[in-house]
Amino acid sequence: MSAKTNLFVDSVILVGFLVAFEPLLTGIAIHEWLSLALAATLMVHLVLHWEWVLNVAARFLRKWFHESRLNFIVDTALFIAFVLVMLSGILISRSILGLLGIQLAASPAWRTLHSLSADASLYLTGLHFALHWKWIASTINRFVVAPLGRLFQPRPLLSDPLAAVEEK
Amino acid sequence: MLKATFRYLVILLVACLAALALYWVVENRASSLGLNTALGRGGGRHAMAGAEGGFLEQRPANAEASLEGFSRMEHGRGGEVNLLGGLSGVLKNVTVIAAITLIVFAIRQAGNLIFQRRRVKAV
Repeated sequence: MSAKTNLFVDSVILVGFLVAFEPLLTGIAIHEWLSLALAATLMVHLVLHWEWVLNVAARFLRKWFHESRLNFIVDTALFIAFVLVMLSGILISRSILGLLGIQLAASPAWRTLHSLSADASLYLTGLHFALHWKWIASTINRFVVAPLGRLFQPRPLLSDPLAAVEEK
Repeated sequence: MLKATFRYLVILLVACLAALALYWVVENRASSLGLNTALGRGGGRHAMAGAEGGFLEQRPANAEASLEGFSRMEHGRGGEVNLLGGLSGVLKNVTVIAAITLIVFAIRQAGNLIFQRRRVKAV
């Protein structure tokens, strides 16, 4: 898959994550449905980076002191944090379960866990973002900054057609 | 196409297994995690499914109050949308991510500098 597609999907995930993270901004119903959509998008993210995940997992067992080891630990923790956020979110959900006709009495412990795991996922996302900063910066530079820069660059003047004829 | 479907299924399977394990840990080992002392038990199906000694066993007197407090904190007053509060929250989260990125970047740069100096000394 191209780096452009990856950048697009990752940007959608980041914006979706930031919006879904703030129920105050969207209201509880949109918060729940957006989070569910985000989970599906995260699966797309994982499938797009499948080879990378397998490589890092293989290197994790081979090399002891390598950056990929840290990547693997952070990504695994992030995956668990997201699973816990989704699980606790579904268990305390009002809108999604309401639509399905399921009624679960809210358990305070799951609410606490939802809050804690959401905080953990924010910090781990920051770490994930930081560890992949090189790729993010170079891809943004390649697909966003450089094309924008080219748009605002003064175009070279067309060569004099008469001079071109004389050269011939 | 088949390969991608297989990968989606593997991710779903791993996520389900992780969710099951987490559910089991929370429902059965909540007391050792300190969750019962934090907020106490809830009701309904979770309470019925709770094991002995879990967080479902004890409920402090202020459990309802803390639940309401959490709900207000999480969803605004009465579940209302607060655009300004939400936007400030988003800004705060962006700042957290940016701060973590900067810290990691600084640590990396410092590490690179130290390793470069060592290499120069070795040469």
